[in-house]
Amino acid sequence: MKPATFRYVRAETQDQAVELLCASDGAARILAGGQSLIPALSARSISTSVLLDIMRCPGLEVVSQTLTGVTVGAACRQSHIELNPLIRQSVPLLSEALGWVAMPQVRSRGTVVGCLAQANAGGEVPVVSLALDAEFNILLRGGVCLRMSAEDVYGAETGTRLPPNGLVVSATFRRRAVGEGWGFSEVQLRPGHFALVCCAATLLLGENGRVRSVRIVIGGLTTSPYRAHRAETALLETGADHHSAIHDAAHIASAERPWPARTDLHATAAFREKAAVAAAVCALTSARARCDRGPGEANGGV
Amino acid sequence: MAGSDARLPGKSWGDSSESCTVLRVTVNGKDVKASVPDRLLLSDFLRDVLGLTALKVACGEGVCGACTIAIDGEAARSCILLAVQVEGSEIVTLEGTNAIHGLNQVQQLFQKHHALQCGYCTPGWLMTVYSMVKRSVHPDSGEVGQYLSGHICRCTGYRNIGEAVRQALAATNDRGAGGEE
Amino acid sequence: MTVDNPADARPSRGRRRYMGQAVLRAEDEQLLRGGGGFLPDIPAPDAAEICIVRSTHPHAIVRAIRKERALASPGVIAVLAANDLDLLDDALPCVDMIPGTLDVRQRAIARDRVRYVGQTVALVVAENRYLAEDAAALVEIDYKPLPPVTDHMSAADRDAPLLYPELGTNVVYEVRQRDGNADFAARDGGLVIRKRFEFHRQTAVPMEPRGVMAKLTDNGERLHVESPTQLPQMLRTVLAGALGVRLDQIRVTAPRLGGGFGAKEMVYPEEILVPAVARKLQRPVRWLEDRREHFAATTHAREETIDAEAVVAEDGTFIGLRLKGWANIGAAYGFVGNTPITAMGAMVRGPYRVPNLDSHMFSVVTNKTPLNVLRGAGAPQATLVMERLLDEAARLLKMDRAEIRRRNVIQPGELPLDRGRTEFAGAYSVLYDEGDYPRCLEAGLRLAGYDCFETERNEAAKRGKLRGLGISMYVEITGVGPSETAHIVLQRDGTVLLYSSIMPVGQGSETTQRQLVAEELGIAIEQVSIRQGDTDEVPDAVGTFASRGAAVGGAVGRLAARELLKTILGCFAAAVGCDAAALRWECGGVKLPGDAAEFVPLEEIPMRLALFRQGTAAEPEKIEAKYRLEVPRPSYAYATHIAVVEIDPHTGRIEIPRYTVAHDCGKIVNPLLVEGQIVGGVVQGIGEVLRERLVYDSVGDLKTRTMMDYVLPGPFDAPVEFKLWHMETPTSFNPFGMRGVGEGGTIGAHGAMANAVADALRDYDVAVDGSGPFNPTWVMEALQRPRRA
Repeated sequence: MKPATFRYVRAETQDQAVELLCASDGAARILAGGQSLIPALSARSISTSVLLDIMRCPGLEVVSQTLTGVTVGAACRQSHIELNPLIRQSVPLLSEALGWVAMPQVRSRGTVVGCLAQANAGGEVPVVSLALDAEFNILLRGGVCLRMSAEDVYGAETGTRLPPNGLVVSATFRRRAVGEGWGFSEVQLRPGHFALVCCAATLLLGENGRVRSVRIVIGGLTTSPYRAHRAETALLETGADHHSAIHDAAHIASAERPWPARTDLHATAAFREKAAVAAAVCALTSARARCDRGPGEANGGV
Repeated sequence: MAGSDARLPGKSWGDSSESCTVLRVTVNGKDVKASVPDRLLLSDFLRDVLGLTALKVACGEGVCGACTIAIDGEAARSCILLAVQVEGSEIVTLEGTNAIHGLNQVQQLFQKHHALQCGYCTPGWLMTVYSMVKRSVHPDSGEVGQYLSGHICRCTGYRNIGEAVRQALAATNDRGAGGEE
Repeated sequence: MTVDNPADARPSRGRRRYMGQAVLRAEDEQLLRGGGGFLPDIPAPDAAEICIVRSTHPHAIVRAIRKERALASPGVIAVLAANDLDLLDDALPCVDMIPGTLDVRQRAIARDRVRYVGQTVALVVAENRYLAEDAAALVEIDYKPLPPVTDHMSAADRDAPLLYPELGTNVVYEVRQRDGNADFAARDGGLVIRKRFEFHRQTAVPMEPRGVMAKLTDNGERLHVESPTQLPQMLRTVLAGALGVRLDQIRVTAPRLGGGFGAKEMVYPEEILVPAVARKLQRPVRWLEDRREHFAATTHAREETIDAEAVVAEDGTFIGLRLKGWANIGAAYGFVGNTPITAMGAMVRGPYRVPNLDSHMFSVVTNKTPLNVLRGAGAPQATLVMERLLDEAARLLKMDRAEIRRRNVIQPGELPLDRGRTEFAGAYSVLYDEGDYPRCLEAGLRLAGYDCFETERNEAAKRGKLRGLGISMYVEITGVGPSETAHIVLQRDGTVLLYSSIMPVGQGSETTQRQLVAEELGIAIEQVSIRQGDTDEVPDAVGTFASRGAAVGGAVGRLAARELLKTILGCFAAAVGCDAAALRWECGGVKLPGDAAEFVPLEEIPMRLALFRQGTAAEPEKIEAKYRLEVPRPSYAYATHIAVVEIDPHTGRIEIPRYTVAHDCGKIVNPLLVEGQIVGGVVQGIGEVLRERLVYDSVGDLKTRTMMDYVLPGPFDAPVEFKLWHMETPTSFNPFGMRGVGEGGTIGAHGAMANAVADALRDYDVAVDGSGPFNPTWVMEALQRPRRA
């Protein structure tokens, strides 16, 4: 299990990385944390002529705030973001979901944006990106900046729609609104293993106690994650008895999958359909419970 | 262990025209500079080039934890990193945590609790404990379970390991965040 | 060396007791510092690296192997196939082939035919593994695919594709076992239970993958082969035959093993090929198995189908068992590949009387990796069959599950009990030794809180969880023979060196054996050292398997120490000029006769004897002893396992809030190590029934290739609470009353877990007839079954 030969290049700047990517005409791959890429190269299930290490490009290690969100640079490690006080305060859903990614010994090296680009089935960060209306900031040749929404990036049944010769320099996640609850739940064979299914949810109640806005995203049930629009609609304006409404919405969320459910070595499609319901119930219930707490009191954390 | 300029010691690469990069890294407190093949895995660099054979390669895909080392104080998998990726970092392997003779405190706890049988996975666990101690992880925190779930042991059934680890963390917490001796 | 109590660092003059002591392991120091000396850690800077080209077809004719592109690859030294290797006889041994059954021993390398994905076809030798893998990808093999057959029931059919056409069948082995009256039948009011049990394919996954190093020594006269094997002496014998050389021209050294579990109780193709390559190329070579290879190349285990018919009387006593079964042994025999299926008939009845038995078992070859033993060696499956039948009978007769076991369990007064002749483990008859099975059962039930369990079940139900309890008792054949040897030397520095036949695989054999020698000699354990695994030092040994390390290896070491004492006293008597009977050994030294009653501690004896010899012409004697222990019959460990599981119906997850073991392994040497073996074995068994599963697709390709595919148990799979209770019934079948303990944890876990899961799901009409695995998908499907009427 040793990789086949390739050339390793440390990109000095973001623009240089894009140049090299374009010049290679598909023969180069971006290397950030490498926690998915290196084992695949070792297994020789993928190959590459050039590995472009972007971890030293200035500007990619930054966490910054926009008016409505928090931007995470492509070189930010999963563990650092998971434990980052700003993230825990302003994007607690991301912090909580990161605690489910692999294990701490992998999160110390893997990057948040790397997860987004890799888009493994059941990947937690893509699910959160859909729930938080994430924007992918992509650098193209000649300094051109492209912005794609998570909805666009994960719109196909498999893979991503990210441009092959662009560098994702950061992703911006919507900041938690005042009074907004969040929840993340995952069904896995055992801690440290993949997600069989997972769910991210946000919930905001209006003054009348009815659901004013809600996001439900299901991962792992299908290869790409999807937003459960119909389930969200079903929950809107529901009132006092959120419990049964949540259960109904969870069932809709599983059933409304836009693509066939996955069967693999670890679970059947039928299992995943049911487990997705359980995950959605759990995530929505957490989100509901956190609605009543103010920011800073209801810190998700690990 | 290689001191300064190391030119591909360890396994020969014959006359192959392997693409190489100069790597500068600190390993167990010593500066190392070497020209290494781009595709050389960090685990192989540490084991075959530097002779630091405590870490084990047991799965090659970052799942089992036997290859765990510390990079800039944090536990990481050496088998799913290229050597060239850790340019400028500080690497600590188990050898760097050993006392001159005998066992350090964490190792003593492992022995006392019979937290190892065949011993193959053990260096990896010890490095995870090392990084948990460095971060002053509290023995009752939910993080402990996460860190432990990053390791597979086929022999012990885990209970004794959990005991040893919790005691190690408790000892650290008692002493304050001074790290382990 | 680390001592368990620093105050005892100097040998004490009082008699040290080591039996039953939780002595910490001295070998831990090396291991904890990272210097275990495992095969991959042995410096081999001059060794060329081997990458093996393995079959990607489950069944095919090999038409041609083209090496040109590989040979031209950078850093390549050689590309070798069967014709290049000068192998005399590369059939790998199988010691449980009954005469009259067919010979499907594996060959070290494929010649014209491959029979499983992963089979060795060619070897690439290069400067390092990276370059070797590059070249291996360039070896072109022209396969003509043949129809594969992977299911053993299909393979047993008359018109199935044949793996060995010359044999005319895929059914290669057959064993019958009978006891009592073969024509037993149901009586009025009784019942007949028929079940088909399915046991899925698993593998040991020791943390250390395999590997082999070889080099020529002594001017090319000898080959030194290093391999982490449970059988170094067997390997030497086989190598000599395969390479056509004398036994003394081969030296095998086995480093300590990073886990074995039966997967290293085997002579593997690579252990023949790598030395052959070293000899051919006249340079050191090394092969290190990576994990992807490992799943296909290292032996598999457990896959069987058993049809069982139990005849039960109205009062719950089992009148008889009829069994017919088929093992899926893969493409060829493992070293003990027929043992697990043979164990079914031999051990299925466990501690239960069941006076009548008719068992008929078959081994069937299929296009899968060869099968061998895995911790328990067939006993987990046998125990599960019996225990599920008991629970099923209890359910149908509306009888308490503990009560039905009480009515069937053999009473102490009936032991020893002849269970009939078996081909299992070397043509023994199964003769149970002394024991108290009822006491073990009651202790387990009490410790597990059996009587209060219904309260637990109801409480869990209120939380929306399904809780169940499962009982499993087994009797395990341990400490097998046919014999074992030990060699012990009193060294010049006054320490005692034991040359042992037992390999350390994690079980702490080094500490256990040192405890026994120290106990025998009355000295401090620090004065005892131990070596093993080198055929130059230990030329004859049976090996490490079947829970015999302490019971047999430890026993023979202790007996060798006893012989050493006789030798020492004899030497002293000769030196001092008195009768040996006048000398006494006590407190770890010789008490000389006479009024002075001078005492010479062991560590001073060599020097004292040398002094006596000064001025004489006498040669310094080597103070040593050898002992060969014949083991005509094994001893039998037994235990009660009680698992409490809790199922989350939403996620399908099964947790184990409590696991109880009441066991008897006879006289315990080191309780710390015994507990470690039991807990480790239980968790391995839990993993096997919850999740571990090898998967082949419909065209015979192995899909489970990594530790993400094959999901091993993690820390959260261990039982939350573990209760362990020992009883020590001495056995007259072992010189020191010891029984083995290495495998028992796994043996009991399968049955206990299956019964617990069945109990948790008792309201559902679901069959729990086999080892599952009881993964979340299985649980979900079970919960969709109709409710029981």
